[in-house]
Amino acid sequence: MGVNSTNMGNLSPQWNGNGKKTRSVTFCVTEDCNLACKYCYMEHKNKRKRMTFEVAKKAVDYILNDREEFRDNAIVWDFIGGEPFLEIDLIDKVSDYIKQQMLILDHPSFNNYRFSFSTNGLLYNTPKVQKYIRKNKGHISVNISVDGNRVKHDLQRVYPNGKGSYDDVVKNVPLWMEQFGDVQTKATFAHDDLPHLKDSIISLWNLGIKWVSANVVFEDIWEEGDDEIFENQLMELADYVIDNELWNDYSVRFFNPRIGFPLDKELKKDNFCGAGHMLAVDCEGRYYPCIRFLDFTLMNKVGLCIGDVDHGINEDLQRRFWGLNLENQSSQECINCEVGTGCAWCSGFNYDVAETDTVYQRATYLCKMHKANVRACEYFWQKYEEATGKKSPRREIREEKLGVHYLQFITGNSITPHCNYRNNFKTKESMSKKLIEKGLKFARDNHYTPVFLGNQDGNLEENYPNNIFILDSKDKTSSKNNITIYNNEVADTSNSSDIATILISKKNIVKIYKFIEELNRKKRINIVLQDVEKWELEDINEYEDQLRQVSQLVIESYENGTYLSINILTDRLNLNEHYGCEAGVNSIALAPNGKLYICPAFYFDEPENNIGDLETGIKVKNDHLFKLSNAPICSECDAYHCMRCKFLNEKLTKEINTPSKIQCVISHIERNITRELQQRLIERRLLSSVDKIPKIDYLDPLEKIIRNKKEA
Amino acid sequence: MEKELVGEVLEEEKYEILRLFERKIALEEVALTLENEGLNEKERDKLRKKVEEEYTKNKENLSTWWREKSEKYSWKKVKNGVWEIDFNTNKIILKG
Repeated sequence: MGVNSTNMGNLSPQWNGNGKKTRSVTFCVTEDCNLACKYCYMEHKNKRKRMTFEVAKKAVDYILNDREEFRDNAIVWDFIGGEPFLEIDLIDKVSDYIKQQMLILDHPSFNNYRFSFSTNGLLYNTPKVQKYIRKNKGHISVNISVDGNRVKHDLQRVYPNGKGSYDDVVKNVPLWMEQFGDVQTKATFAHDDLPHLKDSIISLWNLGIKWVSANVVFEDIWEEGDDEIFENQLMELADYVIDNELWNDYSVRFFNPRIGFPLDKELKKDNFCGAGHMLAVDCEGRYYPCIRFLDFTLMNKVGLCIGDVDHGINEDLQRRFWGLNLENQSSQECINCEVGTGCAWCSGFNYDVAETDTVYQRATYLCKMHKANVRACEYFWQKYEEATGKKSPRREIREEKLGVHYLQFITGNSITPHCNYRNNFKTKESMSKKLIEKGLKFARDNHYTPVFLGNQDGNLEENYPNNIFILDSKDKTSSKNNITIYNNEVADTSNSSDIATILISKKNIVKIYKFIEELNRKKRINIVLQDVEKWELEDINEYEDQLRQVSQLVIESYENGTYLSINILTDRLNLNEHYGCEAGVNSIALAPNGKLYICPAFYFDEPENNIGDLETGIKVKNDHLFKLSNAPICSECDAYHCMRCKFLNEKLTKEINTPSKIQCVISHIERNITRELQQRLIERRLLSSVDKIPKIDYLDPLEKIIRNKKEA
Repeated sequence: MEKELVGEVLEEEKYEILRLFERKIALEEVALTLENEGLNEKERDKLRKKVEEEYTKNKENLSTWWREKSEKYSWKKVKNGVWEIDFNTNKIILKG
């Protein structure tokens, strides 16, 4: 399954400071606006306050001269209002002053700066604004707010007399696009306009605005059922995108493939926005952590001022922002949220609605809206995979974050086993096409990657070519065998797959070296030992002997740079914690009878021992026993490469979390021979000497546990 | 005009010329402010001199960058042809 390149869900490429660390400085040049948008967060707009050149000049001088506070070598000079273009004369004068001063002072940002504008676009085509744009063409970015279609835009973005502004803004869009190419707009949705969401996004795309940075408001305005309307609108939009194949050329942030995953450690230590790392200057020359902390943008609190143009920044007042992160401002519910990535907040709004004057209390009014967004996003990317046959970026991200989850299709009762089990079935029942289709849908819906065990005489590869196949080396029906199984013989090594699994029965222990030598050119060899419960002392000794011989092959491969990888010998070299089989956790099996199993071994051993089916889902009883922490012997063991086979555990000790003695002994022989191998590789300078495997005096970790208990 | 892909530069090398290019534009844009009313005669002359000097220096730096990189990577050249860089892909295109 290849990966398609698509822009859907991304924002347009943003200026990155030409590779330099960037500081954003926002000038609020006026608190006046020529619109009176109903959802505007600037609650106290007025005609009184506008910035003077003297105030702006003092701020520019401070920012360009205090290199201790402002160390960044790239600066975005952001002009905002109210409506910034109401003050185009001032902006022009300030911009000229900034350019001159950067040059005079040899400031590094002279090579890396932008003038940025967020505007309602009404004055965009005026001669003064156009002259300014021509004068600074190489260093300007402009974002005109178009909120959607006419109905939606005019619901919110109105003149003080209540008249909608859509027509007056949209007439300037062609000029804006002509001057700035692939433009992006920000569309904001609140309760009233949710039913227009789908049509609004499409309308923006039809205007030629291909990038839509859409979001929903943070405020406490959401009503019962809004999440359902939101989700339905997004799903209809998803269908429209799929039907019209728009995913490569158009984007709306609601379908960002990265949203809706559990939060990792890094995200928990991060803040959603750059408050405190930016600087905003109000009309009177007071400094703020960002525009959302200015007086006139807050409903309940006074502005959070951190200094002014006459005294600079008070560092003590800025300190609170340096430690601000997701973990220390969020509830446990948010920190542990299964779909937490991409859930937005605004530090300024948090401050405004916090119970005390703190920035460390996160508002969560949009929780249900975010969850609805995630569900719709999931829906879109599933549809994308169905339409394109390609792996979606969302699946890529999921696999990176959560690991790959596999659904193994036992395609018939006559397949060659690929692991620690025997196929003793006498029947040749095959999985039906109907069940395969249902299984593939289940895999799609539940984020499993399908793996076919067997090929049904070539039919499966023909019908489902984009999947993983694990086949017997003698199976000549396939040209793309991903993993080849050699069942106690290596007769034909011509198969093109890079990964080989060799099944070794007790009587073939003596042939391990020979088999591996014959498959030496494979990138990866997995040895699967069968019927270990029948092993005796002489088998163990022979195994040890074979491993020592194979060690020599590994050393030679390190010397010639081919680096042979064998599960029982080289995996432990690179592990610092238990690897183990993820059966029942990251992988399950679907059998021809329609039932689900922890792995194929459980099916072939006892078909009644299933964990559910495609209709009722997976129900694993006592699945806490799958965790290493609940496996008392394994958690004390450092044979980290051991597969900790749950099937063998249950078969031999009757407890799924408890290995038998022979399993532990075999794993420790492998561990100890790996230790010898490691020493030899280090001596030959073929391996670094860190993480040396320690010497131990037992082959069964239970001995250590019992000894420790006695000593205690 | 024919276009041919003839090479590629490293990310940091891309940023070197990108900053020189941005500096060129910045100098051209600051030159447009020289007639501003806010400047007195002395400030104006000083600023004009700095713009001119820096513009010349930057032009030399741009030429040096192209010469050094073309030698380093042995890019194909043709008579009357010019190299261009795509800042998105770091690729060098010969136009001739």
